[in-house]
Amino acid sequence: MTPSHHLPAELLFDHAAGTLDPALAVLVDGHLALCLQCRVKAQECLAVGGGLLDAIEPVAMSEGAFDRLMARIDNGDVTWFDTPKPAAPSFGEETTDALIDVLPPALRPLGRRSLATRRWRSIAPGVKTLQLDLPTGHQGSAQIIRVDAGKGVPHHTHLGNEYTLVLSGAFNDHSGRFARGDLQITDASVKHRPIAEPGETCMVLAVTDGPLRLTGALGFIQRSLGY
Amino acid sequence: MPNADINEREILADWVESVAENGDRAAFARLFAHLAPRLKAFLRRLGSADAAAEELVQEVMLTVWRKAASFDRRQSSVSTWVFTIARNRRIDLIRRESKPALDPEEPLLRPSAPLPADTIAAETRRDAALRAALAELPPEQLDLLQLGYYEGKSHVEIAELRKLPLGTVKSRMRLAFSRLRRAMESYQ
Ligand SMILES: [Zn+2]
Repeated sequence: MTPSHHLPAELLFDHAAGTLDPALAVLVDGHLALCLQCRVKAQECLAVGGGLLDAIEPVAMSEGAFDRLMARIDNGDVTWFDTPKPAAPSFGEETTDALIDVLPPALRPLGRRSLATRRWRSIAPGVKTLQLDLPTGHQGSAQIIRVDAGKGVPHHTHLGNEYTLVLSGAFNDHSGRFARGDLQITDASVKHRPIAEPGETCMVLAVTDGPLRLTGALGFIQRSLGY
Repeated sequence: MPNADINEREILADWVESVAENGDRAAFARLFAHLAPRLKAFLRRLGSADAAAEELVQEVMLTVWRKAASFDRRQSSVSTWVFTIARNRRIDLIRRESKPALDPEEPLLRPSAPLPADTIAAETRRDAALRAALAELPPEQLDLLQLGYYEGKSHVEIAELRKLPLGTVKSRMRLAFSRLRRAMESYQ
């Protein structure tokens, strides 16, 4: 099924230029894995980078640069591409989780690592969150939110933008319906209450670039717990 | 669009294939002569000092030599392929600085899932069309692209730098991309 809510130009731009913060980069990669239409656009944005590389005023390399490179090649020098990766920690089968099944394959190592090092935390009846093991920009966060069928995330606002990528199921809020692969972006002025559709657990990857604030009674509890 | 330009793109792709198939050093020397000074200029604008930029160019060109077989002329032009290598290398460096323990197998550091070959046809012609369209972009749109791709600024940083409302930056990006996309699509 093709997603109906896509990456805006500025995220495709930052993705191609390599300037996304790591949490948003994961979200963008997650959408790209599920959306051919945006993959084509992302490739076009990389082509713009190629075009700009072509158009740049060249700066001469130092004398003998090519010979030095060939000497490295003859030496069998490895590239950064080939440098040995630290062995992936083995988590065995115990971290098999419904979450892993709904993550695009490229995001599974991150999901496994997060499950192995952090816990699902209950934030409201039928709603659990798992912080992802990722550095985020400023004071934002990257987390998986899983909402039982028919349940809702409490009313909340955030200080920055909130980016939500649906991994399974679907939710509805005032702005429409969001299903697997769909990306919702809400800014700080929006107070919303997403509700999972009946029938299937809804899992989303949620990235904020400012801390999330629950409003109302739950917000009071949240603040008094120091979240 | 000049045919010479199209021919030049085809020749670059031939050279990469010759490196992949035969370890052709003469072809690689010609690739180096074309690409290395551009990569160096590009990496210097991204903030690398001269010596550091040269070292990065060497690494990117070493990767070109080693990974030549993964180049697919149906998927991208040589320039786009090499741009992507340089971009990934830079992201990798930045992330190592900010969080050295990060797993290099992060999805971010891997190329996105491949596209079906028929989705991107006649990449070379598209690329030449793109270059022509870039040259004719309104200055305020080209400025945004250069700040992002050459200077490594995110759209939020660009808004701050140019003292523009975020909405203006976003709509200029949309305009620039749809213009460039139209140029590319006419050659599909
Ligand atoms: Zn999309």
